[in-house]
Amino acid sequence: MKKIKEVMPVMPDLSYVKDYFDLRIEESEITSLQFRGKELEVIQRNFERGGFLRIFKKGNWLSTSFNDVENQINKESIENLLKDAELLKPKEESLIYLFPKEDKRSYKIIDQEELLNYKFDLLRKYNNLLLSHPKIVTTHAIYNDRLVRKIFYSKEGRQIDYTIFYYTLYLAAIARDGNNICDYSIGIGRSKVLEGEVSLKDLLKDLEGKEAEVEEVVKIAVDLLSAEPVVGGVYDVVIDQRLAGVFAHEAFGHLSEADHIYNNEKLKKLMAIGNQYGIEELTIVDNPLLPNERGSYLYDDEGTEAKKTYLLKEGKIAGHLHSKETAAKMNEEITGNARSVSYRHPPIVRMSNTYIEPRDKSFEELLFMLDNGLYVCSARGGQTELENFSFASQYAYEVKNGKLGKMIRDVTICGNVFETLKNIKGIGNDLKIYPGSCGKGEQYPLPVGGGGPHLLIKNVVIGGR
Amino acid sequence: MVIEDLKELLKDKGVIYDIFYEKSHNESFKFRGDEPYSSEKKEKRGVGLRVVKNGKIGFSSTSDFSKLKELVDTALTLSFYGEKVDIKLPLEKDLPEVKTVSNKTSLIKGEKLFSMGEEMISLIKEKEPEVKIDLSIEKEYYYARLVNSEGFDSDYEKIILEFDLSGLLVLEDGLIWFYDFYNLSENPELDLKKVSEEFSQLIKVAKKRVKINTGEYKIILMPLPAAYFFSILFVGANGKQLEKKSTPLIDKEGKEIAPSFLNIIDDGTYPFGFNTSPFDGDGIKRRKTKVIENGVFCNFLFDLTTAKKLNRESTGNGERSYEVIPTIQATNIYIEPSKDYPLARIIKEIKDGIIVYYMLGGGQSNVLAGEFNWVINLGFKIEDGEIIGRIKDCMFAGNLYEYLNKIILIGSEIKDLGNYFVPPIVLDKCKIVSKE
Repeated sequence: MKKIKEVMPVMPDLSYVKDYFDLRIEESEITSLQFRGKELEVIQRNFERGGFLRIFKKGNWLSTSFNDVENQINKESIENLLKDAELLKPKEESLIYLFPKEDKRSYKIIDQEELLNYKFDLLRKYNNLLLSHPKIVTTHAIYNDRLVRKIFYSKEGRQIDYTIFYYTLYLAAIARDGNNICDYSIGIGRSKVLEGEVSLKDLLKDLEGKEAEVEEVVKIAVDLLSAEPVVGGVYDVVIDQRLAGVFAHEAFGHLSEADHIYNNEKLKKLMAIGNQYGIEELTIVDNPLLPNERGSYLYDDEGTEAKKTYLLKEGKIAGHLHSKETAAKMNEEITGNARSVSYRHPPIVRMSNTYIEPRDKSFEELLFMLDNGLYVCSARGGQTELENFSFASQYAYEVKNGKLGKMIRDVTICGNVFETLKNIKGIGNDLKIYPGSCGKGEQYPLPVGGGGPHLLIKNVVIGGR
Repeated sequence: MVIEDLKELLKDKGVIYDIFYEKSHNESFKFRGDEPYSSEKKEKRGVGLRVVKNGKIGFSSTSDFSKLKELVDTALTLSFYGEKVDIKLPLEKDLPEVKTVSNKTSLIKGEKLFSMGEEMISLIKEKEPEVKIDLSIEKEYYYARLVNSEGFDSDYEKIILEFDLSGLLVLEDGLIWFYDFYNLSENPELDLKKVSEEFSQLIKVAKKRVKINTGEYKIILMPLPAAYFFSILFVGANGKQLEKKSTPLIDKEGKEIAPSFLNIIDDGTYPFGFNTSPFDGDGIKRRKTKVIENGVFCNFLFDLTTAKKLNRESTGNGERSYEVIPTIQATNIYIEPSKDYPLARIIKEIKDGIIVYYMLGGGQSNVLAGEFNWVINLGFKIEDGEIIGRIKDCMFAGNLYEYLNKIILIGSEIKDLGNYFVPPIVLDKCKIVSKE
């Protein structure tokens, strides 16, 4: 095992710390461009470097984040941290210890210099397209990339050092007709673990050729101006792939996070492995190993290998998402889901790419099965307080006799997750994964992915006026 | 010193610039599931540089002070693409004196904060042993300094102390969350007994479930959902939306949009408010701005750049951290309370209504247009002036600009949420959709 000095030259020797500790250093470079209407209002580059040290002593976490990397961690600051261990009550120490491992991925970017023009032109092109309709009064078009190197060192002898490049577009059109204002937006984004010689320009090609999608953004924003608000009530619905992803993430994914479960006996019962909550075709997974999705990674922020986890398999609870601590406390296998939004925060149990697996129904078959109800599309956002969830769609259509009718707006779906799972009656064959950002506690935005096929859900409460 | 080094690097560049430096030290204790869980410390510092070169803005920031030259070069390079604005950075004099540091709070020790948490939990558990408590107490020391090429150079300190309390109760029909929050920045002495009694009382009544039908009801919005409600107004009152013509308030200045008893102020000088400071991110004086006065919409909020584009004055609402250029944000929002309307009296006067403590779904709807669409996460039915039990699976949707005129009463007890200072409000004729 290497000494900490060899991995992180600026850090003091920590070998005298007897308890489990881990140390993360993060270096990131962020480029951000933002158009609002015709103006490029933001163009910026940020350089961040900072770290996070945690010690697990007598069953409690002591931690400090810092970004004066050369000066803030020393014997005195560590003593100061350890002092608090005496305040917190000693508890049983349960934590998974992993075997020592060294993994360092080096890379070289061959074309970073000339890329600013390229990013600017790409965003301007899409922004101009967004502005192409007279009813569009303004836009919000954002290009964002983040190159982040994560270095991890732990008492176990884990030394991980790798870099991920995230690149995203957010494109919104705001349409107005008198006092009527409607907006519609989409996000496009990928990530890539960098190794060897890398051309960023090649990666950014993923963001090219989205003209048709951008034109649809404009069309939907403008169409929404003449859409009627939904009448609140209980409906049968077909939801699209974006909303299916929000459902998988918001409604079920958060409930599968073991930090909510491990110290709550009643929740443990509700979420016990084997409990049947859905039809046999229903399977929900969390998978950070999908290539290049926004929620993909190799190791979590506790240095644990990423892996695919079945949350619901054939309608039954199949697993929970874990950190080193929750896996030990629940005596389950560790899943590598301890993530933090940045060096300023501790890793907590989070999702990666969470989606519903596809089955055999085509979209048309689902509409036929629905007969009368709503086709609800695209998520504006979602929120959950464990079993209760609420998510807002961006637009919807009436469905009559299995046929799409007029557009409707302001459709928000809410419900109880266990009841809603039971009400999923049809699963489509058209899986899509979309980029997203998740907030939990004070940690936002964490890059995640989510998706699913079209779903038929019965008996859903729709808020409305 | 980093600012002096940057000034030196910018000396011969012939550009307008400002430098925003901040640092903070933060310590917190977290309790999870009734038990102490962690002690966290956070140290942060960073610097942001905005330059205006040939009338165009560039920006860069860093927390790595070995990269100052790169910072300057980057900001200058980026300005080539930046927005063209005819901007003059201010040299404001006579900044307001604001209260942001309380001696009592500054002196309080970690041990004391920790024991407050322990005591609060045991007081609640005595009354309601089934509830699981999460709690966090966080104290932050913050320092900011702004320097610009016109010669402005000023700084301030702030100490913020927050007390967050949440409880989870698992019942037959589901999970219920309870939440409370205290801004202790002015006075760290919290009446633990009183708070725990109110909290326990809420848990107690929540155990009784009552049914509710879809229909129109009077609703009491407690301070937290009331703050959600008014936050939609501040999307519309943001000067950026005026510039982009994307607000329903576009032609409403000087017009009545709410009942005449409604007064709302954005107050960047409110004592111990989270966003209180002597100057904003542009170096403009913080102030009180009347947003609604006697029901009339009076003012949009502006930062320097947006105000300039619309030929208006900045209202000192340029919010900034070292990582971003100033953007328009409300500071501390104060809703003027009424006289002699404590919650007990409000409830007593309601024949058939609902009282709402927490909502899900804030900010998810088309807020630009004023839409909201909420799930009532913790709410109770009121009949003949009495709370009779908890309701479940209800949604409340509407449009703020319609609902402003449905406000029939404002309570007299202000809740300090740090950036919202808001009493309970009563809305008439609210359409509630129930699954029952």
